[in-house]
Amino acid sequence: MYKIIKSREFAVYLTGVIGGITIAEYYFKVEAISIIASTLREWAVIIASFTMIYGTYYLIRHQMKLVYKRERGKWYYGLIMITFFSLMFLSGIVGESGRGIYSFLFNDMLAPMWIAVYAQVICFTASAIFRTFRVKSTDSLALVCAALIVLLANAPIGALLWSGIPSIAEWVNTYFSNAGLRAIAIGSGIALFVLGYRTLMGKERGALGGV
Amino acid sequence: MLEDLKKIYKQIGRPRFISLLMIFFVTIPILYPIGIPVVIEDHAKMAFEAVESLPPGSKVAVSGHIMLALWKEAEIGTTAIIAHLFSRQLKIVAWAILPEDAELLHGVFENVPKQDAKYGVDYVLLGFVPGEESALATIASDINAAFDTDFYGNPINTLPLMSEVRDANDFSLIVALSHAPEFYVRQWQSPYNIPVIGVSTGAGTVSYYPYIPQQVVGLVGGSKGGAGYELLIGRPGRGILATDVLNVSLLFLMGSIIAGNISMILEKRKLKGSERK
Amino acid sequence: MCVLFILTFLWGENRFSRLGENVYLGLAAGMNLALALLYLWKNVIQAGNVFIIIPCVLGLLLWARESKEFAWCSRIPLALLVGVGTGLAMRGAIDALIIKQIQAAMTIDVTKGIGVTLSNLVLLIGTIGSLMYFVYTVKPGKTLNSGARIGRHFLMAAFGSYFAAIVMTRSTNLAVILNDYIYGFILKILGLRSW
Repeated sequence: MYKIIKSREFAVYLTGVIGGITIAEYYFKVEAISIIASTLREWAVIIASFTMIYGTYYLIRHQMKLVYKRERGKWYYGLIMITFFSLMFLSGIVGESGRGIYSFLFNDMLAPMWIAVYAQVICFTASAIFRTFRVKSTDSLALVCAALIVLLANAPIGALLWSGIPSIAEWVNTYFSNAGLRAIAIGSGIALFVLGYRTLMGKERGALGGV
Repeated sequence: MLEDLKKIYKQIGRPRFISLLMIFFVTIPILYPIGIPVVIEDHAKMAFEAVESLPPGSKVAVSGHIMLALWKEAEIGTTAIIAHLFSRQLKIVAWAILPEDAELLHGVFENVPKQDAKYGVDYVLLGFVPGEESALATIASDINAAFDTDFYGNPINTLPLMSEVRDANDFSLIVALSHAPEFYVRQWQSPYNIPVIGVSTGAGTVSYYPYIPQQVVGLVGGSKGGAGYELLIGRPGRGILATDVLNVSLLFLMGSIIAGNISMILEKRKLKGSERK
Repeated sequence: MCVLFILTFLWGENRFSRLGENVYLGLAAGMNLALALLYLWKNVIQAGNVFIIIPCVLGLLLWARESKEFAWCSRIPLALLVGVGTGLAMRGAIDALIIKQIQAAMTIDVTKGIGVTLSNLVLLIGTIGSLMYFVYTVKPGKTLNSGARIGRHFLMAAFGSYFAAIVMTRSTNLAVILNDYIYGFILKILGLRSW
């Protein structure tokens, strides 16, 4: 029994059974299946919070190793990360929600820094646009035209330059580019179904963590 | 003089130069607001109509699912739509499925005019629940299974509004603050037929288009959509500044595309010229 | 100040940008851990349901990965997570992503005038062409190749729209950083702005 539970196959079969119950709940209105499926969902939510805790533990453990070993050029960054981690964690646990040090650290430090990380991207995007958005074929013409039309329509000034621009852009968004987007949605739905089937049948084992 | 111009032209394509130019152009409307009129999008109008069609007292779910980095843009639309929900005397149950959104929704509820709405009776902020799609499915089937206390630590059985909601069938609408409409379409719209309104950043609007109007009944997309929604409810705000900046930065980027293509044509001519020689 | 440290990355990686990154990562990790623990404490442990001990034990089994002898134990909670997540995604995908999308693409509304009818036809042809582009299981013939070539243009238009949308968001991010945190701070110090 112990050997069976210890084997990889047990985890794979367990995944398949749990996935099957979750899918069956949707298509068959049987009370027993609904109760089991909803219990499994609640357990999944709880285990998800443990995965967040484990992920943070792994990151901080790695940084603590750097600090302990005094790795040249890295250990002081690790110390800074651990310091701010501790500040945020303790203020979040001890303090009141929405107030105090946690609120200050969240709104006045974390938020602007996170926004700045994403804001940098536009500067790199602007230089990448200059170098790569060049019309060399009909495909790239479609790409550049759609991008220009949507950019012009999304800048309200487009409507001032010519009143027809918003209508053209709406047509491009609603029909022309929407055709591609729908195909991507259908394709991703089929791919999701196929990948899910392979995972539940045990043909894709990477999701179990390679242990 | 020609050599200097050639040197400047060579610098133009470099990332640092373009970054500086970008920052310079974005600074202009911040320091000197232009005030270009906002055009209200059709999708924002559809979202407005969807909220207007609900009778007072209907329950609306608000699900926070936008990353902190992208929040400032979505905040415009979020604040506008929540103000609209309060003005229509609709009851709101809000939660977050990303950790940062609980605090962000708290900030929105603190600042938005509530029209005599009382916490616990007319609106509740439940806080963060991990699991993303699993969390949405759990909330849809039984909200009490996902939450025992709200964001402020009050047990939910002490909140009168929570005695009126048990699962997705008790809601008339869900406002998805999200870049991933497929989660809400799969777990709320498809099984329970709850209409979805999307509030997203500019980047997220495109992912909603395949679902409009059959599965998603309205969309407040980006700062432009948010500014339009602010005008629809008669509360112009941050959206106007955002649209000014959007104008200038998008014009700059269009200029980059056109300049890049002109540069390519000139390089090709130069090559042809040197081949003939 | 930390915002400026992060923005110095525009000029290449340097000590200041690395400092800013580490501060930001530390704060984000602290927030994640605090909220996860608060959720467990307030909504799970304090709820007082005895059966909650089972998912809590399964969650703790994740730490078994640290031991070579008991690493296999960590597969069980992962199996539950993957099974539930996959099941939820699959059951919704068939109706929401496949059937309803195909229905929407095939709907040609003839009551709203010739313009809308033709546009819906363009949408249908574009969707079929784009789907043909993704067919890899059949040997490509003339029809498939022609359809795929048409579909590629529609896909390129879709990517152009995606690009434009992303650019909108990032521009607004830059504006927020400059307006609220850099210029706003400078103007407040100079007394030229009160907010």
